[in-house]
Amino acid sequence: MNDVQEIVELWNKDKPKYESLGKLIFSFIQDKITDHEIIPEVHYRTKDLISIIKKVKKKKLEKEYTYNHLNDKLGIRIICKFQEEMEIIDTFLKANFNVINPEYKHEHLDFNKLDYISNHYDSKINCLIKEFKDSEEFKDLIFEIQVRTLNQHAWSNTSHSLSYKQEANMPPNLKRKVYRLLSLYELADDEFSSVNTALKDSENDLVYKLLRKLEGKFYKFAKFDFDRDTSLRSIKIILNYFDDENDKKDLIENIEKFISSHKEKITGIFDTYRGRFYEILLLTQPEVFIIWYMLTNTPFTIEDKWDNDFDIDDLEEIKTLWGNTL
Amino acid sequence: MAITIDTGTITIEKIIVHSIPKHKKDDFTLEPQYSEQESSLPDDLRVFFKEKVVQSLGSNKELRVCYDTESVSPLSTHINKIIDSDGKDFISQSKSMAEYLYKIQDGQNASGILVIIYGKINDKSTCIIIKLERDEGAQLELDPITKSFNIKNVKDLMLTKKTKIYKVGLFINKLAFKAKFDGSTADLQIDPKSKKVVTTWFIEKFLGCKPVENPKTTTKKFYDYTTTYIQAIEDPVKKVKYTQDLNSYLQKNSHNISAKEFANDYMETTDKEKYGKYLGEKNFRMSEFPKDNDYIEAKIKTITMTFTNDITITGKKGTFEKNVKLENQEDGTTKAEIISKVKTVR
Repeated sequence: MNDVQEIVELWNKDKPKYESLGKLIFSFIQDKITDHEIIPEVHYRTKDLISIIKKVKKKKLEKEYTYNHLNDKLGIRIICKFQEEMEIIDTFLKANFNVINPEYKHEHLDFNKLDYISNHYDSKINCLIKEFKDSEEFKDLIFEIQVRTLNQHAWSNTSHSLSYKQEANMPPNLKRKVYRLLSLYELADDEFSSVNTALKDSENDLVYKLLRKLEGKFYKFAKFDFDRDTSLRSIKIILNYFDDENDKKDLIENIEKFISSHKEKITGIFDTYRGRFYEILLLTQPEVFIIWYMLTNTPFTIEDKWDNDFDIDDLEEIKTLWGNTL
Repeated sequence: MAITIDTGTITIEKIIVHSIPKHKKDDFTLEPQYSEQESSLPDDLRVFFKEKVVQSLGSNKELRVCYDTESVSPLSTHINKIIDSDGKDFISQSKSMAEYLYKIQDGQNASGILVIIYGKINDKSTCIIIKLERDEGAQLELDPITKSFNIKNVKDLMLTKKTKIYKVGLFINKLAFKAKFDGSTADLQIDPKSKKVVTTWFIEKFLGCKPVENPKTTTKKFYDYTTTYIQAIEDPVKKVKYTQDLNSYLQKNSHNISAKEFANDYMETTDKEKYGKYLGEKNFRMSEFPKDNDYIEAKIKTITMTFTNDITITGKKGTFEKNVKLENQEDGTTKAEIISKVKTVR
């Protein structure tokens, strides 16, 4: 049997396993990563047969290389918004998978070099993790997880379209253009991160500050993204309900503590309505935490004024979900 | 320290329904329909019933109760058997409750549906009793095969105008919660436009309960705490207004009162918030309780306003606000204006 025929047969046999494993890992990451208060994009794919054959053939020219050496037959890609999230994801992956070979591309670059700098992890599932316990049949399958920022992703995609590789024989003026672009992507990542940090700590815009405090918590419980415009508008209105500035200050200072101390109850509410969020739209927005906080701490303020701007039935629904102390 | 009993944590595990017909006293020809099995409970209906219980017990009508040792009602025994057996003895105990309801109902009582729930609140056992009073036209059919009622039909009845009132009682093992009360009840009118007087028949006769505290004591506490709060308000005009309001509120012709209703009817939002926090510190609840003015009767008849210049104005119920015009002055003093004929001078 020739090499190609062997690869075809092996892949026909293995592909369904890798497909199932991909689904399993995809669901696991999507479900669990939000516990860390971030909501990156997660994708997975199994390599197509032609790519496998081409890659094996190409690698074989350089070294001893077979189908079994190929570690990215299943690829998981995690795309995060900010650089600092890559560290969180790094910790998450090491805690939940058996990472065989982590590769941090930026570590291999000299100070005067520019290139694609995402993190790659050749991994296996960790069957000690509850969600993988029943998937022993996949325990030896190696897959690759790539983690990158949106900018790194944009660069990777664009450069791929331009068929760019550093070693390509490109005229110096075009090469220079590509390097200039690449430096912009790297700079953009740095700048987005510093703006993000500055905005989180901003004292000037309470509405924004409060939303930034809540969004990670929202991802954690709801496990999906929300409409920012709606949140900014609603939070602005609700903050204006406070006649007493001290109550407003208390809310901003204590909301995270409030959410943590009611963690189980909030989890219960979101879990009960998962799949039926269309029935209670306020549950799909992070301002729901502010409403619960106010119903607990300043109930008259919210109950007296809500009706001026929102539907009173919506408040009643949220109030019912929250319950009361007997 | 008592464990918080949070209705947001209620989970419903079992539900059973019994149907009690309207019948005249001592006429037992029309027989109840008892379920022999729990009703099956899909998730959406589980949520529906939980929401109804939470809404009822979150309303102003909620009242903490304890079992009345002088009551002849056996409900406390049945409830405790359900709670103590972690719901194992659920069907037979629920049936006994329905039998008792049938026995004590007379021609005055509308036909009813008794819904008994076993569940958890704060991860501890709870028994919840819901009584729906319905029009004769509202029928509920017992499934001859499953020997249970379709819970979806009960939901539909609760959403129609044919079921006007529902009453809820949630009971716990008070030792497990280190609580001073056995349960919490609420009488609710589904149609708030009908002004039917809410009776205590359900609480006293059927459940065999009484308010956890003597209404005279609760009313006095309400009066004392509210007065103390009002006295701490700096603005003298507001202070007089709220004092008058309190006196009027306590003399209103209503059986039940609540700090929440008082605050909502008379106070500005910021004052309500401070009032609520103050009562919270005093462990006085905002929900409804039966009013009994016995201990405070003399205090709420008159209002007396004493100025720093030793002038005092005294007015009787309802006369003060009509006849004394008060106005805060820029220098911090208060102007009181009375235009009337002088009756006596002593």
